[in-house]
Amino acid sequence: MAKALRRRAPAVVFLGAILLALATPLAGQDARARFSRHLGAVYAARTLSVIEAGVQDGLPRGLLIDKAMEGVAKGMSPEVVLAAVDTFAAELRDAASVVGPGAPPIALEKAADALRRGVERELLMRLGRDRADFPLLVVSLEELLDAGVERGLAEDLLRYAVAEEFDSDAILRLPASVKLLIRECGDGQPDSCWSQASMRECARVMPTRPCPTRTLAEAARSAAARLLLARSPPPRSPRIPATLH
Amino acid sequence: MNDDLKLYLDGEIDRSELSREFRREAERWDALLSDVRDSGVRGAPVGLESRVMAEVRQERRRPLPSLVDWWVHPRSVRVRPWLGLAAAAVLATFFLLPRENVYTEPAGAATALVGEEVHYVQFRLEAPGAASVHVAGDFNDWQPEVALADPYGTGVWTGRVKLPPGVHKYMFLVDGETWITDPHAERYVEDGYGNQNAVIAITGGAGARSLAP
Repeated sequence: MAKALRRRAPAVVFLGAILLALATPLAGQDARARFSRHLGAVYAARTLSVIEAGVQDGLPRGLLIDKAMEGVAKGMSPEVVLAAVDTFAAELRDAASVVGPGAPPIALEKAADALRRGVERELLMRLGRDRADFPLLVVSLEELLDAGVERGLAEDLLRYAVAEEFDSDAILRLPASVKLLIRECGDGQPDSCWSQASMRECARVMPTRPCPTRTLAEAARSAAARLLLARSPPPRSPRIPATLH
Repeated sequence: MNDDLKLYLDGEIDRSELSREFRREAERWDALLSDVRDSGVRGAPVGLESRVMAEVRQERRRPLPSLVDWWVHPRSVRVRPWLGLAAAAVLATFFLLPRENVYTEPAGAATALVGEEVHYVQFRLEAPGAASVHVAGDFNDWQPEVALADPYGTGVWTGRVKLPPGVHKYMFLVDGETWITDPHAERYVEDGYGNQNAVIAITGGAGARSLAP
């Protein structure tokens, strides 16, 4: 038995090598088959032509394929997948005019996300579109705006972070810091609460670098005020005295 | 000497199991052995047994002889010509023929920000009553291949996924049919299909951490 096994070992190794060599291309074929099977020949061709048109315009093929695959995986109809890929390509073209040609796909995608959310093009351009951490800056910016921070203050915070070379963690932590300050001092605490909480948070997030304590406090305070305003009930209409009737 | 021929001479296989080429050689060996038998020589020369046993003992003392020998000594591999041609044709089909360049750029690579470093991210979803929960995102072509587990039967499904640093989008698939946005994600983005994808940002620095809940 052992002899027979040893005799066949080279053949087993040879077969194993062939199977290994085939594994990767077969996986690719599986994805392709899924794509074509779900969309059907006509819509698969139309979707691919939209993708190729985007590629001709300098858009990354991977992002467009990913959008189509997402729709296929989520069971969307071929028409919806085609429309979503087409819309996404248009958004990416728009974003490309902001981040410039040759930008990394992730920078392009994040810029498209931000534009869709209504962030101004100029703000994105000022943020430092050539920086490697541009996508993280955009993620942080979106979250600061969602938290209610004024655009100017959000920009100030991020520009400070860039100037002081905050690391990625600290940049992503800024929105959470703002939310923390709002939780601690947002219910009508005095000025000292904001400044102290801001200093504490700065020391925790960036202990070795100068930190924009004042801007952070101001951003959180303005956001808290805006949130409060948004939550307050609408003013009641003045009651008309009965005598006037 | 060929392995099959050795087996034949040892009496382990029949001559009919040999290839035509080796069958002829086997016949020559048989003739030779027959001549030796007919010559009337009986018994081994004096001292042969002790010399052979000394060789065998020396052989046994060598560390890992069979394993090393297998890799070091040349071996003959017998492949039927038609099988070899078929294997070569299959390999040529996959490696030489032009393929559409559609699926060669993995989506996950497109979102990597820093290097090739990877991090393990723990995903978690409370889904009591669910029979299965999978996580899918741009890191795996949106294929729900990563199954979460509910080891305690409490309806809390968890699982770890290896992700490169970057910004990734994902959703959960419950019972293979219902796509659910992570209710505890810190960030969301419209998916273009009427839902929201959860977003996870993974930084690549020394203090790298997942921003998922």
